[in-house]
Amino acid sequence: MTSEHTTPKLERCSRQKFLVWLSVWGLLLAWGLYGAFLCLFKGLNQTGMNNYFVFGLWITVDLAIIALGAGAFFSGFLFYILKVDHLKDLIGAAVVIGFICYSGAIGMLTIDIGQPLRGYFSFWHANVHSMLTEVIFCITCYLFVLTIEFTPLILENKRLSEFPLFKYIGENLHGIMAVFALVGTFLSFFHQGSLGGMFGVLFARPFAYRTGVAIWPWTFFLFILSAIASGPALTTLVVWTTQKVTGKQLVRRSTLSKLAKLSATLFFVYLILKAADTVYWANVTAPQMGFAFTRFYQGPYGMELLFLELFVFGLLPAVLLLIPKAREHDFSLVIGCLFICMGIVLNRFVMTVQTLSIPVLPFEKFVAYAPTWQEWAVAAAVLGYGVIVYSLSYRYLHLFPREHELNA
Amino acid sequence: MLPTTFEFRWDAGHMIFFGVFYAVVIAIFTSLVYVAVKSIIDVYRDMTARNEANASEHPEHPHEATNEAVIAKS
Amino acid sequence: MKTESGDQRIARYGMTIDVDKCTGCGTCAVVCHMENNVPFTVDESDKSRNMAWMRIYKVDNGLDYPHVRVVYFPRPCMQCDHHTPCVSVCPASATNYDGLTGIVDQINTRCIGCRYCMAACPYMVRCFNWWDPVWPKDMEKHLNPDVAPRMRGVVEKCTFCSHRYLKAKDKAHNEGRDYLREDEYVPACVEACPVGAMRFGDLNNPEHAVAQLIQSPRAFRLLENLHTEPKVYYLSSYEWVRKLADNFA
Repeated sequence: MTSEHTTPKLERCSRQKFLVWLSVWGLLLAWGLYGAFLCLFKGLNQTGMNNYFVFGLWITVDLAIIALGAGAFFSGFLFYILKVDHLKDLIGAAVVIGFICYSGAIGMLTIDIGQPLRGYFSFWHANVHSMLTEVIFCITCYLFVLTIEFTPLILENKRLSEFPLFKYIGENLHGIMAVFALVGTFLSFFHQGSLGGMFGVLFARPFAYRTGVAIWPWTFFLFILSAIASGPALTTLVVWTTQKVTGKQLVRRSTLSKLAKLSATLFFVYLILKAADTVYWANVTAPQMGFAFTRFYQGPYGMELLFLELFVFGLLPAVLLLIPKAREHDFSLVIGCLFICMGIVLNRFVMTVQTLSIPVLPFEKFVAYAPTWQEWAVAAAVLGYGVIVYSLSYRYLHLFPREHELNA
Repeated sequence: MLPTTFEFRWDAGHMIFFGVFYAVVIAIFTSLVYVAVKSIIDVYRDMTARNEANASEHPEHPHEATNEAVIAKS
Repeated sequence: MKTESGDQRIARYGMTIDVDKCTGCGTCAVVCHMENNVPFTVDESDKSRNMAWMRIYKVDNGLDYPHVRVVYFPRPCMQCDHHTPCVSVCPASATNYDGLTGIVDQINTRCIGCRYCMAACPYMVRCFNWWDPVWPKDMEKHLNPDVAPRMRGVVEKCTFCSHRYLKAKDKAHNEGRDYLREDEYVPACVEACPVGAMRFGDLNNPEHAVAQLIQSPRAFRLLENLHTEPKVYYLSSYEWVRKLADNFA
């Protein structure tokens, strides 16, 4: 990342091969853009959402990718503030992944609101008592910070750095990156928490409601912890996949192991707190509101979801990655990180969709939700967009500082 | 967002929320302005240094060299 | 506003619905549609996406003939009085709790359509405009000029016909009064109920019938365990009906 070094010549695939690769993902992106166009032009009647399921696949994906994108702020915090040096190997990749996740999430949110052109009202007429206001303010500001963090990486490009002004902007931005890392950490803490708070404060939805400290329900803290646990897991997974796809070693193997260990440790702590929260909610909070714990799990959203979340995609990967020998094997490393990410996706799904499926009014019935192809297309487009941005970044930017050394 | 907005009412919540928000915005923009100014100064310093180096390497242009020296002295 | 006796007080407008009297005729729902220009969809059988500020639930006691008993619960907005769930969550301040009347209103032109308020409401009161509202040409002439139709992509809900409150207040002002009589401000559903099952008034005013009715042992509210403090009270003499109003662990 330092500007003093000269970027070595890195070996990349042929332009033709790269274009074929891009077009595959471009098709996915185009399909999603068509779906988005239909939703914007014809309205949200194109989705599977209704007056019961006011949030659906998009909010689930939004919450999930914002949590998984936390690798950017957490790695930045560890590297720039706590000076954990081995993260230098992949801090650039973590920033790009974070940028993709946040920009993708904001893009999806824009389609998800009924009146996209009025989106700025949440700034202009901000209701400061709403957790969603906090989320909107923080993710917008944080995307701006991520763009700033991404800029030096772009300006390090050989062609661009030939311009002295670009070169110095990149260097100077890098010089005070600690300030942006700190601001990013602050913003991320609040919006990750507020995303959890958004559901935790719904005191009229007993499945989601949690007690807490001051204005913050326990879900506020659980979402922060789960995000900083899963963010590094996704970073590990993406870097490992990049190595496999490109056939090159991009970071030291020990760096991936250390990151996975960090992720597993945090995830383990999260699971303990999550279990305590679940026990308290099931035995105290929900019954006070007139709900027996078992009543929440019906139809397609049965008790198996809780089992999957806490054990299969919870305890299992956490314990697996805490075993040093398991971390040394690629298979267990990847399965562990993948399961942690899936656990977080499942948690966000449960908080979003299951919360809305449970009837609170005694005359209402348990309902199920199925997304339409337009919703799947937009969600898939975020993946397509992400792969394209990441591929371009890998090809034209110096994402992995040790790439040259490790492949010499 | 702004006290001029229709129906805006200042209360403790607004003070805390917007206090923190504007602090963050100020921190980001101050840092960006610092980077921009420092980068322009760096570029200017480089240009000056290059000109000086050129001048000392090419004494056949005494007029330019004299000019540089005069500027530097003043 | 002041009371008729001249005391200055903050009103808390509320409603009582006697479910023992309600026949489930649906007049309240129909007049609500007419009064508030509530649009309808092409497929009104899809209740998950239709617009209904006043929805009528048919509920039975779960027994077989001849012991089966049926009641109807007309459900307007509950106008929650305590930490109103939808008001606190709206990011754009598009849902408003009026401190002078207790009416929870919707500022439709400010709604961004995020639907967080719908997630927050346990009574399923709020409806999202999934389509642009379309009325048959002749029907446009019947639209109420006092209520602006809403557009696609915004959330709407029962407002206790707050436009009628504004009209009644203006009328009182023109007549030099600074109070409203009990019968001056009444939502359309209450006015139209053919069996007189619905009553409306200021819950803070002991002279109003509703203030007396809510003291009755027959009075109960929906989901009291959630402590949203609805201002809509139901009345029934039957224990099984009152039990239906809440969840019990």
